Order: sequence, then C-alpha cells, then structure tokens
Amino acid sequence: MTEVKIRLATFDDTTVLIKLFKEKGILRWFPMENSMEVDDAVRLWMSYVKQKAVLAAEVNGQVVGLANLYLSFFRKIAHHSLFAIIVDPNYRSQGIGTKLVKELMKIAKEQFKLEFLHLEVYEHNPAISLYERLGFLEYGRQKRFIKEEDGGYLDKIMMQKKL
Amino acid sequence: MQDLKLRYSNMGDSAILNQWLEDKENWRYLPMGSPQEAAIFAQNWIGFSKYRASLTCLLNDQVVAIGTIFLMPYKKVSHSPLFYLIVDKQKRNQGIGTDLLKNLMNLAEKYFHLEALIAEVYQGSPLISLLEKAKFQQFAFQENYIKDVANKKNPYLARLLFQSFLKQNSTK
Repeated sequence: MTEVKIRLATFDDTTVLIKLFKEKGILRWFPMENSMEVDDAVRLWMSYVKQKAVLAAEVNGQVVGLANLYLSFFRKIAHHSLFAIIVDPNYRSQGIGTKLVKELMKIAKEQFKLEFLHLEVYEHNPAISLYERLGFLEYGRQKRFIKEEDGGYLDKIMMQKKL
Repeated sequence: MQDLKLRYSNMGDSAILNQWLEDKENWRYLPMGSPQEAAIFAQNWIGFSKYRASLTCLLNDQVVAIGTIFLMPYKKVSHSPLFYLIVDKQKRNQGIGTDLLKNLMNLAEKYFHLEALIAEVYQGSPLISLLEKAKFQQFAFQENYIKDVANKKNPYLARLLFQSFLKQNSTK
C-alpha cells in the first residue's frame, strides 16, 4: 500500500493542480476544455485555500492529488457543499482518492459543521465506484450535460452523502 | 394579453430586480437569506443583460417580470444553461410567467442556438407548475438543500432541477 500523506493545500500547490489538469485524458471528466477555462477553474478551486478547505495528497513528498470544498457564501445553503477531486493518473487505484475524500468528509463535518456533501460526476467516470463505495447516493442525472468535441454527449450524475 | 410588452433587459432594470430579490416574501424560493446576498444575486443576474440573454416584461409600461439565461462560460457545457425568472408578486397568475418563459425558450433556441434550458427551483415554488405546463422534465430531487433557520416549523426544502430540450437544436 502506498504511503499517502494528506495535508492542507497551500497556494504553492497551484502549479501542481494546473499540471494535473494538463495530464492526458483528465479534462474528459471536467467541464473545462482549454487552458483559459482551466486557469479560471484553478483560480476558483484554489480560492478556498484561504478557508482551509483544500486538501493535498502527497506520496514521497510529491503532490499527486487535490480535493476541495466549494463552501457556499449564501447562508441558507451553507450547511452543505459541493466538492471536487483530482488524482494524478499515474497514481490511480492506490487508495489516494479514497483517502482524500474520507479526509474531506472529516473536515467537512468536524471543522465546517456541514450536514452533507455532494458531487457531480460524468457517466463512465471510473471514480463513480469510489463514490458508491463511500456511501454517496445518486439524487439526479442530467442528460447530455457534456458535449464532447466529436459531438457525443455525457450525462452528469449528481450524488450526495449525509455526514 | 393586454398591453404586455417584451424587451431586452438592461442594467437600468437592476433597481426593480434588486427590490424584488430583497423582498423577504420571495426568499422562500430563492437561495438568498439577507439583503447583501440578494444584492450579489441581483448583480450577477442582471449582468447577463450585457449579452442580450435577459428579457424584461412590461405591463402598461411598468416592469412586471424578468427572465434571464445564465450563459455558461465553459464551452463543453454551454449548450444547456440555467435560467431564472421572477414575476412581480402583484402580477402573478396572469400568464405573464408563461409568456416570458416561452419567449426565453425562443431566445435560447433561435438566438443562442442552445440545446436545452435548465431550471433550479425549491420545493413548493410556484414556478414548478409553470415548468410542468411548459413540458420541462424533472431530473433531480435533492433533499434538505435549503436550510432556513428563520422558518422554525419547516427549515428544510429540497432542490428540484428541470430540463427542457429545445426542439430545433437538439436531437433526442
């Protein structure tokens, strides 16, 4: 089993996040498709560092995954949060995603007093089995959410878990 | 409908939109819970008028409703954006929302060449019957999405998401 260290992310991790988004095939599972959109998404993702709501996974001192909570500013929806996760494709199937999500659930409950977490994932994404294993349940499915370059579509699956 | 006119919204409509969104009676079915949050939401909303993605309804030259397509910035998901619509509470149940929604769908289809429109509403919202009448299909039900502690009896409300595929630009 790979030894994984989970820590709070810092702004220094921004370059790693950009690098991970540039890995081949990664953007299939995200709504962005070019570097301008990636830069925008990274800016938003890393803006939660200030709130200590971004985690980094390290293997041998190297960041191989990140996860964040999109904490809401609106009070009436501040008891839950959407989250996102990215893991280096070269480090998949080593329990890194599981550790990141588990730690994220822990800080969501203990630190931010959230009542549930939710996520959005596209059909065929291998991470769906991870979310199911961790107890996330589907509450909706948006048909043809993603339009791929070849004209094909992917549904968006929405899942959530009570903390 | 008598004297009902439609025009593109402009930044000058922000005052009336702000007024409606700051009205606590409207908060039950919207995400905001304070005047500050309402102001942020209104600013974001009316900002889409710059792209001609917002329509304003006038009855006897008075603004009575605003409907807006929240255009998506990312290309892969830009074909099916969310929209929001609000009708002056004094002018509800007169077909204004229905008329505005039809025009918004037309704008989405013909001008922006969108494939679908998405609506986000909360349990009990009067907009649900309007969406159903316009043949929107519900695709998500998220329990406990809203927690309004001011409403002691029933603080939680579910979020419902609806979608309508626009005929000309979508192949089912």
